Amino acid sequence: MSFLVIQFLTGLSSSVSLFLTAAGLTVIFGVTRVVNFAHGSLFMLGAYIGWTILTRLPHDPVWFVAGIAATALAVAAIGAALETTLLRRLYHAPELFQLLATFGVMLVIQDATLLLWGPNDLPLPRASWLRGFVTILDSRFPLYDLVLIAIGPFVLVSLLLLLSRTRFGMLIRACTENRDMAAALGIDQRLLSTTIFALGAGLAGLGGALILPDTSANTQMDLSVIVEAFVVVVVGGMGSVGGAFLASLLIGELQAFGIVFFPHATLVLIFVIMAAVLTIRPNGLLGDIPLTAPNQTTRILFTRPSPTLFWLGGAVVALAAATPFWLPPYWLSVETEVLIAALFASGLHLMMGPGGMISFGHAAWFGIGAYASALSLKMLAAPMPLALLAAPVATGATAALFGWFVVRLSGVYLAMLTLAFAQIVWAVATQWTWLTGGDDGILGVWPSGPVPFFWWVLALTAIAIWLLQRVIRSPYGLALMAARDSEPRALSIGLQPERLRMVAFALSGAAAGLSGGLFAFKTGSVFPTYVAVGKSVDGLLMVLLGGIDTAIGPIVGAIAYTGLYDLLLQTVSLWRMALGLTIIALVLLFPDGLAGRWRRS
Amino acid sequence: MLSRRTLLGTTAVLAAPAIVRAQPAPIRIGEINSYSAIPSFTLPYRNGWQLATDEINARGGVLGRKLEVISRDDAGKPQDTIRLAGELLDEQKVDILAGGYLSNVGLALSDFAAQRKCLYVAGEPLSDALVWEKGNRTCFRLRPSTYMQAAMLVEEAAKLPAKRWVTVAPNYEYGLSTVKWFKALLSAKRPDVEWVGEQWPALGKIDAGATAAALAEAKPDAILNVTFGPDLTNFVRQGNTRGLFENRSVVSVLTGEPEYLEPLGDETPVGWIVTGYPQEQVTTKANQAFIAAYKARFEKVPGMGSVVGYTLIQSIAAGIAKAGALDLDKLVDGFSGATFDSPFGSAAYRSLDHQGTLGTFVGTTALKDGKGTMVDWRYANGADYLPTDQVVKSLRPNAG
Amino acid sequence: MTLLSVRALTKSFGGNAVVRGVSFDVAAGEVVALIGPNGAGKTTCFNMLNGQLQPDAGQIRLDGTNIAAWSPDRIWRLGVGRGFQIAATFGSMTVRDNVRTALISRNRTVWRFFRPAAHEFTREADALLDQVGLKHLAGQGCGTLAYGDLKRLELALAISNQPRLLLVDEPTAGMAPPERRAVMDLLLMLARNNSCAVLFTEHDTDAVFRTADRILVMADGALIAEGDATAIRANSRVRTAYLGE
Ligand SMILES: Nc1ncnc2c1ncn2[C@@H]1O[C@H](COP(=O)(O)OP(=O)(O)O)[C@@H](O)[C@H]1O
Ligand SMILES: [Mg+2]
Repeated sequence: MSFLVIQFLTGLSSSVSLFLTAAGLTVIFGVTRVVNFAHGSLFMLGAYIGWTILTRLPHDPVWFVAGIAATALAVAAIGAALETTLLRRLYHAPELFQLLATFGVMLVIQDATLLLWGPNDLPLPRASWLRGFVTILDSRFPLYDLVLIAIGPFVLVSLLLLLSRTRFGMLIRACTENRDMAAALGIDQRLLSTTIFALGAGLAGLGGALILPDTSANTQMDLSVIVEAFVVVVVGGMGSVGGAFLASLLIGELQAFGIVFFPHATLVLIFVIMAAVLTIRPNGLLGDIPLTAPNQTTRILFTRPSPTLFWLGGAVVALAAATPFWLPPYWLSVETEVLIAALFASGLHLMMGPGGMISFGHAAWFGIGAYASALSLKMLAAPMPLALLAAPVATGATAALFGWFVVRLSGVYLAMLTLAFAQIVWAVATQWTWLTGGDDGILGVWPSGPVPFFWWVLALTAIAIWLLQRVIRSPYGLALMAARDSEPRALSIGLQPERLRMVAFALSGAAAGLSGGLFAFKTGSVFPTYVAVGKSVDGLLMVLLGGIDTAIGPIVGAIAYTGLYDLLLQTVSLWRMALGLTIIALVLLFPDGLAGRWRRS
Repeated sequence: MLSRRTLLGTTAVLAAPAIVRAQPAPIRIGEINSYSAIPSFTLPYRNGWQLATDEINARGGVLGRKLEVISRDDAGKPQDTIRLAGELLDEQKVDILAGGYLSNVGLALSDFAAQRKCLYVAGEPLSDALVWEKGNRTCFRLRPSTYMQAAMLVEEAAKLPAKRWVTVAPNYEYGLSTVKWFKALLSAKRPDVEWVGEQWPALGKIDAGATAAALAEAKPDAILNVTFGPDLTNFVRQGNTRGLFENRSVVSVLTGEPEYLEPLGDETPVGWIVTGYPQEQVTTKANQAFIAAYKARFEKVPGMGSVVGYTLIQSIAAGIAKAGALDLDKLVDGFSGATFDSPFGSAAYRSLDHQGTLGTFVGTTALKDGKGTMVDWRYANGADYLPTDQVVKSLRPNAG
Repeated sequence: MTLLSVRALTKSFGGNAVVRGVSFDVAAGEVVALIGPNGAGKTTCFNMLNGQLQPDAGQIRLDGTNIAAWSPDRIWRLGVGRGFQIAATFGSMTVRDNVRTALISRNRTVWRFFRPAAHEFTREADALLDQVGLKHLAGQGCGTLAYGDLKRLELALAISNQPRLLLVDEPTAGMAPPERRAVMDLLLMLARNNSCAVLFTEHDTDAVFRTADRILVMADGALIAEGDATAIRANSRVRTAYLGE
């Protein structure tokens, strides 16, 4: 009994910092409709700035509170600066661009943090009162955790009061519910957006600073927090502060009790709950923002592949087939990777371009394909061609099943759900050790030799990409684009957009799966890191670089991105910052789409 | 995550004066580690191998050739490790691969090197699989394995009166295999011991409060801790506040290493039985000389990582010298049984399983001037903590 | 003969009753106008008629079959074409491909993945475009069209399935007067040529009185009057609804 109470309280206290962060994310989304990927970085800055301030202050509680407050204000100021210099310019850009820009900001902040504070974890020395405890039912419980438990509801109530009782809150609600109406009524949205961004960032900073007595400031916290905060915001309902509170409680308790009952599967639990909630309540627990279709965009003509291009492509493939005869082995291996990347991007493009669905978790299919290949080789002793076949088959089937759940959603919700699914796959790959080998992965997935394998890759990617191009040109491809361009119109000429999208989802997944299978053989191994968020972002960047409204875009994008990435990697030590700045510059300089091809009315 | 950085030009020969002289081409060692992901260990480690390389080159190198280390950062992502290893072999034409920190990276490198028929010398990865289940002819490993660390600690643990044990370990190869061996070895010595609970936090994601409470709920007499780094700091803080460690024995792997002890600061728990490195307390000539040279160059006291980096290069030099040539068969023969010097004294690579006999220190933690330190320590020689040759042969099915 | 028979059609959004018990008939080949102030519930009615919204209650019989809550594609296959208040076309395609897509759907060749779409129904598409006077723009991107031409394209899409009933929501909204007249005439001509009935909404009262065989008037979600032009002009409830008299 006492144990259950203690565990319950522990779950409560560990949910608080997550709630603060997620509340910030959700109010920002409510007003600006920006999904702020850099929110985890603001949390991290809260921890680092808090460390810097608190280590310089006297150790009594009053100074601690002052230091935490100063940290929150400092991070709020950073948030305001971010909003006025960058995000303000992106409110009318497609959602994907906002996501990418904030992802770029995250990369920049990662390297900036490393530069400013160095690589080591920074633990905050705990003053004696922070080590205090109270005795609850014969068990000791940290005093500080009790303080945290009190802070959560306090912030919740303050936020709710702020939203419901003040003029500022009224304006916020007006904007959350109907931006256009609010604009028509002459509300100064710029000022409001800046303020709300500062508020959200301040909350994240507060969340980051408050964990310091328990956890050292470290450079990995941004990504782990942002993924959890996304889960909370989506589960709670985007834009809902109360929902964020409920969802973070749910997750805190889930972790506290999860480790008791499933000590090996703590990671999987969260994402399974998320998927369950969203299947039952697609808007989240308390979500009230309707799932509107993404902003209507007038698109320019989609450039479909012309027959000449096919001949040109054939010639390129023929030339490529000869490269093993003169290219040094390392460059042959780079070429192999580019081919695999091109297939990955082409699959993603089918879904994002003609399909009009943003995937933020395409790494899931890449990873499933890789595991499918490796496992059929290792467990079923399948020869390489069969193992490679297993990849698109397994992935296509899984993607079709998953697609069946998600094609009803659109825009950011769809993107978030794909992200959640990728995280589930990642967690399963990490924790289902007997099947996947856990973090150790599966080794010894080698092809017979690099040159024959290169030909395999060339042949398979060429055929798969050619098939994808045929699909885009086919009647099905036309119907898919129709469903994307105007759903009401597509419905009223007898098309079935959801089915069309589900098939696109499956095809796109199968292509990513095949590229994952090839990559498994390329690397001779499979690891959970194949499913990491970064892999999904790689794909998005390739597609956007190439231009979303042309069929050959993803191929060009894959080559350009792999080249850019390698170049940055080899020449700049702060390559994350360089990549982040490049992304931001691309998004800012081409607000209508990188290839100038995604125009808005 | 995305962090990956190629450390161009971190070659040790850069320190040498730029005298253009006809010289035989240097022996190239391709080194990969998770520099940006685990800086607290790998930066002292890099200092260590730089120091060793320069010392060896100052003495005239090996086989009349200088050593050149070409280093890469894989940021802890095993697929990048393999890609970079390919680059080192194919572009940089290195003769030997070395490095690794996490066990999974080590296993991946070993598999790659076997595939490409190249020698791989693992420094830090502790997985037993590296030399046993997945052991292969081309892989050698320097540090005491999880088995050896467990065996060293079990020796002390068996003396404790404790009967009810719980374990907490990161949920991946290193944690799993340490717990497995510790349980097996302790149960063999003390059949009266009961295992009453286990916790497997994901690496880097421990929910310390809940974990500590769950462990306490099992009412154990003793705890085996395998967490390290930031997880350890969180765990110790929650455990201290909640009184988890009071009136209980704790046995903890690697916690005595300066890299992990230092962040604990004045919260370092007293009386834990740990493996580690008591730095300047070790007054052997080898260790004092090493510390002096290290301090002179880097103005810091070396950590365990420094010892590993330093000894890794020393052992490679010894192996090459004994082999007399750089082709794979000669190298394997040369490394098998090669003896080398380390700050801890002389050690060797066993020809039986390619495991190094380098040992480590076993002692208890203590607080001194608000900092953690090791007391009552002794050096445990790696050679003394390995199963019989018969057992090892059966554990190592695939390799000669 | 009654083609469409709507009975007690009802829909509310979150407690807000938007369509309340609307009942009316449309005979085969008849041209019926549905008018009413903004927000009366006309578009909502249309959305229920072609399956894009599910009614809360009521029946929609097409040739005797109750199609209420059927999916849009099934309703479309029964021969119901639709034009939207704000022209809805496929913006990233050429004009010809817009029509081609509709023909692909009609001929059930959607699930062909391999054959180039460019080979499908080009002649038929051009014939349809000819009917609405857009043949000369067939190769143009849809995004470059003038609004009037977009409305014409919509008509081409709406008649691509040789419908028996056309639902057209404000066909001339947002157009200059001469263009309005031309589009209205085109609509009537298409209906006559295909011998299909038309149910349309329109704010241009001249057009309504000139073209409709019968007029239905909605206000606040309910049908308040029905009759020919003269009857409607004289109806006091209509005057109240529109003029607040
Ligand atoms: N999806 C919806 N959700 C909530 N209210 C709606 C929705 N669609 C329409 N309405 C409301 O229903 C009423 C009728 O709208 P509509 O059918 O478009 O009228 P009309 O076409 O006659 O101008 C309006 O008050 C409108 O605000
Ligand atoms: Mg309307």
